[in-house]
Amino acid sequence: MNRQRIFIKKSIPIILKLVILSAFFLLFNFCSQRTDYSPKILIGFSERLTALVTTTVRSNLRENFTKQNLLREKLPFLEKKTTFSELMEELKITEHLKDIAYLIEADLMFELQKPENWNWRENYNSLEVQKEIFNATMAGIKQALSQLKGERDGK
Amino acid sequence: MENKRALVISGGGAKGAFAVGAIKYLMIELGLTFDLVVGTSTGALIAPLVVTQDIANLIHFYENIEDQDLLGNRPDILAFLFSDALNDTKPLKRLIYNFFGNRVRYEKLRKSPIELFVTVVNMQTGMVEYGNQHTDKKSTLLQKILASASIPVMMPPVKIGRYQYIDGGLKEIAPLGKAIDEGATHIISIILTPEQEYRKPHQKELKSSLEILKRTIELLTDEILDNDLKIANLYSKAICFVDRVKKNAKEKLCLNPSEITKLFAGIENPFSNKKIIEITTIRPDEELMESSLQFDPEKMKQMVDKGYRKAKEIVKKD
Repeated sequence: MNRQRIFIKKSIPIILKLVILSAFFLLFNFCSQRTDYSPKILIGFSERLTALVTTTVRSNLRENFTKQNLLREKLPFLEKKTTFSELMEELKITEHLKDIAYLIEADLMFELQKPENWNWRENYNSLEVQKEIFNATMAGIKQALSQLKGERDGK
Repeated sequence: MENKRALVISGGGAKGAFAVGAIKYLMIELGLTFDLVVGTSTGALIAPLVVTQDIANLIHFYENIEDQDLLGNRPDILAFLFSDALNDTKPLKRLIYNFFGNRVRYEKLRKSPIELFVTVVNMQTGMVEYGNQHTDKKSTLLQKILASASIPVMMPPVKIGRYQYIDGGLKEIAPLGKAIDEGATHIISIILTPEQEYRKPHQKELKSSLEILKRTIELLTDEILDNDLKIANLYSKAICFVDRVKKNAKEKLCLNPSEITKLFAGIENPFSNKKIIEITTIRPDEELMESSLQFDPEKMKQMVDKGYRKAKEIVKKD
């Protein structure tokens, strides 16, 4: 009986250590599992347009510092506009930025022609839709310029 | 015979960003549409979004994705000895299933008249098979998309039924052959490595068996790609040649159509009823990156821009 008691007494710390270690291991494993890594899926019309405009502006202005500077200088004037049509008019005033304006319009047309975007198409001339498209486009232009900033700074 | 335009997107991991930039130019600025889209590996991840015209999400994914969004790390030596791959693909699987698990998005893919083909290799039979949105069940197609992107040894094979499937690039990295078999008359192929003479030699001495294995896969992949392109171009030239012979027989020998038919009688013409195929290849001028499994958003954005500009240089507006 005595031997048994001594054995049990000696075993308890070992068992405890094992339990604590297992708990730590499980906790570590749980913490190291991120629930969602992937970039969020773009669902809304505006965020999709922003993504397209960002790539259009960035791809066309990369390594073209003259155009980048022109667009940066133009930014305060563009921001004063309220509708997409006004924004395009303002961009087209500058000869060197005309092509960018046409390409942005192509991005918009690409999204507008999709059957699921009929509502945007039908209300295209309404102030509300024009403002929404203006905001999405401006967000894309700004995002592209900020992504190109690293290139300009030689990073 | 009707004209069919196909888009073929080769494998190349992170370098797929180059293809995304090129596609943005072709589809949005040029307004090109395709009758079929064939993709291998990273091309198989891109192809369904081309079919559903979801270019915004395509750009968004390829510009923002990072290593951990696609692969789970396994310690090299342990994984090499005790499991079927060096990395696990749970994050990539989650990404594919999150996206096309959505009923509306999948229905758009299923109902699209643009044919989608993703290449996979059956590990047991060694045959190339294709996933297609009209012939495969949803679960099978999604598994084949995952399998097509699963580089052997780096990522585990995908079990579908009783077979294991892996990256189609193992046998067909630029699946032009499939596009030709499906009756394409104009193929735009996007290849993610430069031509042989512009490829950088490997500078470092390879010391571990794992490094040698990775380099061996790279070399084999390059060889498969070169052969895919050679065969497709040779096929296209052969059709042109047969067509030219027929024209010469008519114009220079003044033979009438029945005499020309007699001229070819008894010879099995593998190109009968085939139309001349025009192949336009868009590929980078230099190596885009050293490892195709490095998903760095900054580099990916640069590759998107390179692809966009290269496509603009190669494919002009009519």
